[in-house]
Amino acid sequence: MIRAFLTSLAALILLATAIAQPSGTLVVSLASDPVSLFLPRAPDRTAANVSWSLYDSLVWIDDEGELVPALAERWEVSADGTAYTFHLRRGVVFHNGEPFNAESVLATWQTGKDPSNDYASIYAQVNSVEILDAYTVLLTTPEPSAVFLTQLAMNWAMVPPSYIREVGIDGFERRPIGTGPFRFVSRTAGDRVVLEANPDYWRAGLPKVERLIFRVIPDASTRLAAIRTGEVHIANRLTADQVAILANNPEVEVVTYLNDRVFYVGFKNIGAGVGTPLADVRVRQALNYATNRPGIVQAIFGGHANLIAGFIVEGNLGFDSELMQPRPYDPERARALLAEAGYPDGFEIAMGCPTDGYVNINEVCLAIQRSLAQVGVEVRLEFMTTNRFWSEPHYGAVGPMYVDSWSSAIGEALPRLQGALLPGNYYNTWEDARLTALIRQIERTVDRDERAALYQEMHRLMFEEPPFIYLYQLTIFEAIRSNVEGYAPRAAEEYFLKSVSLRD
Amino acid sequence: MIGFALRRGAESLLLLLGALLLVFLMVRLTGDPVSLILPMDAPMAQREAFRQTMGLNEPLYRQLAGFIGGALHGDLGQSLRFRQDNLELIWQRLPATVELALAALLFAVLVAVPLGVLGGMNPGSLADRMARGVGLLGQTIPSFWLGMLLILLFAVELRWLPSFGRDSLASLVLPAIALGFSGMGQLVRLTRSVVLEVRSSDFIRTAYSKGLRASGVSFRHILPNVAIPIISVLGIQFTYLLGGSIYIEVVFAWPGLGTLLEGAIRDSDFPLVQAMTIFIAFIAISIHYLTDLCYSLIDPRIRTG
Repeated sequence: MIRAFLTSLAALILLATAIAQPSGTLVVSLASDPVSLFLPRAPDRTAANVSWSLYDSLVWIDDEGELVPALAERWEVSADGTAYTFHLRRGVVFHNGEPFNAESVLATWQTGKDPSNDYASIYAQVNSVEILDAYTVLLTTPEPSAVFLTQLAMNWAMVPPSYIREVGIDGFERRPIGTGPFRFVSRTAGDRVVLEANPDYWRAGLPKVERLIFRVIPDASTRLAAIRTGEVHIANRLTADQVAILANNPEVEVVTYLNDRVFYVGFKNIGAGVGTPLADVRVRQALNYATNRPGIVQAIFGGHANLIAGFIVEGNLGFDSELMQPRPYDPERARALLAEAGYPDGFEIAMGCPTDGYVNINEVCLAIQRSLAQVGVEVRLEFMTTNRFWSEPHYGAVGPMYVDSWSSAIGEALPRLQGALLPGNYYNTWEDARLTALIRQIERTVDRDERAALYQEMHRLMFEEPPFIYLYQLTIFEAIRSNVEGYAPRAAEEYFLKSVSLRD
Repeated sequence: MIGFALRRGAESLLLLLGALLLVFLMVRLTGDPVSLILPMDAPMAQREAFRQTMGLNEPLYRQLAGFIGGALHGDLGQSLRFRQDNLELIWQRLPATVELALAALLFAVLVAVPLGVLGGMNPGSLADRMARGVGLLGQTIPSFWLGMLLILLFAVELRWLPSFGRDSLASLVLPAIALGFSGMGQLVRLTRSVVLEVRSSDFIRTAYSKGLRASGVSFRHILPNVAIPIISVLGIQFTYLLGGSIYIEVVFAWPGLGTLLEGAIRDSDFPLVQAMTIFIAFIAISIHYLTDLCYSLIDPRIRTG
């Protein structure tokens, strides 16, 4: 009896160790040195992607886009949508042995909303964190927010209270501690970040690799060389041409996906936009028809871009490919509309362009200028450095039109709608009370289906009376070694590496 | 002598201040880095708070005075992105760049000097034609292009050497060659012409006529005289290598000052760009100053000139 028990126990232990043993070293290239490993101070995608291997949030968005429990096992939302009660997972431990509990959530909020942090405003959206007991915590927001839980999932990396109070944020950045699948080992400035598997990770069976090393490789052609030699397993930010070289390489697999970043020409109806032909909706529709967007996609991006019809794009909540068809390229229609609006001979207007701010953006600006010239609209291009371009609120440094882009990391268009269209926001250049009202409504609508319908209504309005010329979304090109499994990057270029493994 | 040292010292200081002012103005007049650092949806209040914390709201002259004052105390400001002392960041990355610069110099010397001497001693020979050819290549091939080519050939195709990074001695080979190549070309031409000049000078003819064998003449008379101009050029080349390694470091992902500067420029981290430019300018000016002092000790004509 005892022998049988012991044998099965031994077998189970053997089985468990056989399954759960992480193995191999995964090497990932980075296009720039991650400036910070403390998430509220991570200013860009690169820093955020590295950081997320170290932490968990209370909730999580899985690969299917569903909100699932993480460090919170379950939660309740109050009837008025302003109070969230989270019931925390027990038995979770930080990399330094500190236990995870309600104190951690409070400490995370307090350190997160420090005004010296880049993302302080995200934490400031919560106006109080109350500890109800060791494993229950209550967060309140001033108003109901539809995307609160998504923001929580993407931004609130739990930190250990005693440790962070002891070393401060600066000390924490030098040696970050979280509850995540990987623990911090070392960091060589400008060179690499070395992480190792967290043996006490609360999700059994993860992570799948023993060591995770991020190497900084600023030059894209060097990243290409490194993936070809196998010195890195995952290389990102490659171009279509570079990826073409990898086409017949059996050791490398190409990964492509549409980037959740919309490129557009913005119009102003404030500042420099007042008193321009842009006030007439027919003019704005005409400019959309007149811009040779298919030509731009083909000639400049070799077809590796998608035309967009609005700010809600493929993969976003509420996207409907039948409803959201881009306007065709139709210079005849454009001329007719311009004539109707009183500009049969066109007009002159200035357009700002952020030189080298994005891939091929200079060529895109020139192409827009050329196509608008065909219908009599003479565009005076104002090329300027990205510094100057973004240096003044409401694009004050440029004329009534400008080319820019906006990404969203939460699977919905809300951040860009808010950022671009809410009056008073730094990048807002178009004020329309109806759009403002709709955005406010979307912010408060917690039900996903209702919100989807609102996004569609938003699209209709923004399509009929466009505050933008809608251009394109780009395809992102990455490459991985063929023995890498489980790599699933998301539309805003985020990746999470806990499920990635290396086949021998 | 003291007068000369002081005069040159004062000139160097003026030069440094001029460089400081130029960098300070150029970097600030190109726009506002806050928008590049903070996320696009950061509210106005946060942007203002950030500007306050970073001292970006002070009038320009106050910022400049603060910077100069700090620099004199060894405080070169704080990086906007890293929120660390700039000097600390520079010290962290300096060893890697010095290592690369020395390796490039070593490569240049090991190839250029023997080739230049051989060429100079045997004008018109194959060695001489090779020396001139290499000198030309050094002047015409762009270093970053050479770097990419070396990676493609020796790393990707042949798999003999790593394609990037600073891991082992092997990692040093390709970047050192790419970085040192143009200096090597310069050095070959210099060595060759100095050897030719010295060879035909009076004291060498005297040595030959005294019956010394060719090898004796080379080692005891020609080479020492060739060494002096070469060493002075090496000093200047080293300065350029320190400051000019940015392309090679970026191509080879070498974690030195070059990649630090590239990131700082890209993200408009102007305190860091400022600090690095001043640092490099300081080193360059110091080396020139010291070289001048050394020369004035050796050659009295320079002191009075």
